[in-house]
Amino acid sequence: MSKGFGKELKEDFVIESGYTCVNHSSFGYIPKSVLKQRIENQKRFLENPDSFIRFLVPKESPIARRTAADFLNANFNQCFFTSNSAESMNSIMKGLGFSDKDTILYLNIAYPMVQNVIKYMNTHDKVNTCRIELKVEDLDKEIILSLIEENMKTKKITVAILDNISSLPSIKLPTKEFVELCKKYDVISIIDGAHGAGISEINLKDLDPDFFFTNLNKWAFCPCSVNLLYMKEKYLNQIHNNTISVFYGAGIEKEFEYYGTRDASVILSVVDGINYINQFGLQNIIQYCENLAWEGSELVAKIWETELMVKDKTMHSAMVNVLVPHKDHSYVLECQRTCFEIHNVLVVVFEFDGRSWARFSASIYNGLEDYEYAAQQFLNVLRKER
Amino acid sequence: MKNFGKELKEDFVIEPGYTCVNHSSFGYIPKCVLKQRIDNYRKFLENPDCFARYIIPKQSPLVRQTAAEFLNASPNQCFFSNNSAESMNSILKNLGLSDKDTILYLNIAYPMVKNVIKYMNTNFKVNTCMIELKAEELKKEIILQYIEENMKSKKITVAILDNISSQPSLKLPTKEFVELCKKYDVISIIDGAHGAGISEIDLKELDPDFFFTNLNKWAFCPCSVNLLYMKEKYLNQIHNNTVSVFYGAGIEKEFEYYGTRDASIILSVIDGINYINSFGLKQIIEYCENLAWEGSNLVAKIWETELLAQDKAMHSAMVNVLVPHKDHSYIMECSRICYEKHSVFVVVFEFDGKSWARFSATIYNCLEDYEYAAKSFLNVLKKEG
Repeated sequence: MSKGFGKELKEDFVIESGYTCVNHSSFGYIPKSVLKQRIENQKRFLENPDSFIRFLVPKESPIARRTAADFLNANFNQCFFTSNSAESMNSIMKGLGFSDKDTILYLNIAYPMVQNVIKYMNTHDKVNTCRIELKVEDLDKEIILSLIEENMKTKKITVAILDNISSLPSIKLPTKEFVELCKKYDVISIIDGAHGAGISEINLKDLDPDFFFTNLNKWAFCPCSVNLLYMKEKYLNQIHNNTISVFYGAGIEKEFEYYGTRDASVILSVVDGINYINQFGLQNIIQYCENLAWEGSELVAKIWETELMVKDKTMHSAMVNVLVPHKDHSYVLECQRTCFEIHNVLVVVFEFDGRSWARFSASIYNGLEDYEYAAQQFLNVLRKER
Repeated sequence: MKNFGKELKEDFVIEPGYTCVNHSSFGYIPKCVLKQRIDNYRKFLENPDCFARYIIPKQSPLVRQTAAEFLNASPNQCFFSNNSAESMNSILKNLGLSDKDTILYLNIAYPMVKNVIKYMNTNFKVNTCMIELKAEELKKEIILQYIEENMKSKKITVAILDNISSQPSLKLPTKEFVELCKKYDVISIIDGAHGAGISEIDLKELDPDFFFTNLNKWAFCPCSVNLLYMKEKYLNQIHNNTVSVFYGAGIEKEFEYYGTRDASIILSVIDGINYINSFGLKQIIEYCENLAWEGSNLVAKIWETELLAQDKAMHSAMVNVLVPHKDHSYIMECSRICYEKHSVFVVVFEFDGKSWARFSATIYNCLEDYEYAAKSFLNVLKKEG
């Protein structure tokens, strides 16, 4: 491998010229080599979709699934592709047959889509819900686990969901201990690994949750968007694709291989993304990104004269949250847009525990100067100095 | 301005050497549409944050407006999904159907549709009523009569009819169907998967409760985009089958974003519609319907068989021909071999105890495509090559 991580790698990536990316994680940005292959696959698909869908996908899909499954150390027959985490989460929750006798446990920092699926289950099927409210000072591994266990002890929880790495705010969560608690209290465990493949070392055989899903486009250099859904074998005959289509009832493999006309050629890029990771080494990537996210965010906090939400580096992956130096969140949101339009950098902002925060992500084409630039420009906009 | 037929083929994204007589399953697009599509796709990948947060909310309403106008509907009643499956799932699962309700449909409904109905029956005990049609009953009057009989004698809650069915493929009497639904107070769903670009659709006039159509099958949009239409009274009731971040934020938002995906594809809807308009929809329909009919008659002659339905008026640009063989698994195998050896894919299916082939015609097709397909398939059937 020739180039080092950082600025010099940026030209190898498909990034709008002049754009400073400090939010790699929402959708993912891909290497030019992956795009080149993607466009060829897409052309091939469009040139003969009949052949692609009827003959090629059934042949290639198991191979792509196997590559992804190996990458996460899982059996490929328990792994299926969907378009995104929403499709995976909908398929899981709606396939488990919950009723008013069941209770779902989750955290207040769960991703909005997850919270909405839970809300849907409550509205439609009268499933009970139990949300653990965390404040900033509760964002600590032991506190989170203790609150989860308390709830599992005192209530009959049917299913619990935890992020691998949460989105807003972003912290690493204790998934191993969580799965153990679930087993101890006979709770179905769902890990939202949207942020997972490519930025965590995931070993599904070791972790052993009931369900796990992860985006391959966020951190695994696959074009937007592909998601991998994993489940224990006992669910293979129970879970259906949330989109009922021609293969409903023909087995879960078929149900996820084809569920309506769409450009299924994107799954071929899964292999390209994973190969790209492997040429650098996953551990090397994780180390660079986690360190840079931390360093970069501390630099932002210094420039803003504020602080990080959570002071413990080990609670973080390659996304870190910094307090925004302004109290009016609608104004902060407006500044986000202005900063993007004027300075060509998007700073992710969100509300949590009564305050406004920014989230910075780091990938292998980022360098410290990106965070300095983002911090300075955002501050200028906040202060109406530009 | 090129004419329809062979000379137009080079303007299309089609595998070199491939003879396409099945335009309709997924659709094949003009090179100019692909070029624009790739530009849009790159723009999306270069800055997905900007695309998803700023560009799509701005462009999506404009694209919906173009598609809605093309079908003469109000844009605020039209939404994009990926495909008919997403549209159908979103409709049927949100009507609050229970064991007090009954769904009416035909045996020639598309398998996805039948499966969603089966799902409603299995999961919510919704009653179902399937009208069994045989080959000789594939006539407008008979179909309408059966539908009315069932609506009269049973309490039907919702009924679904194809605009143009898939297998077998026929034009169905949607206008009369919607009138029957209104007469008997039945919710009407038109499966217009085959619709935009090959039918003259006027939703304001047709006035169904629900309608969905693929824009990639016949409207030259890359695979795959679907337009879902509904009467205003359902706008607060229907939810996207995929519950995501905008659940509860209004149907417009629910369909604009429902999980990370390449939403740049909707920009191609305009390119496809513009392409149609450069020729004229009526001209396209006329050419395609005539060629599908002529081509299929030629196939029937070469095969020494017959068409499934003898009335040209019952057909759009897809026609069904009896396959000269009785073993359907053998025929399926031949379909594959024919593709591998002769680079032509013939769609085959079973109906009413026999095997049929379906031939589609679009503006880059010509008669020799059907001659080639017929002869190649026959050779494979007879094990002559």
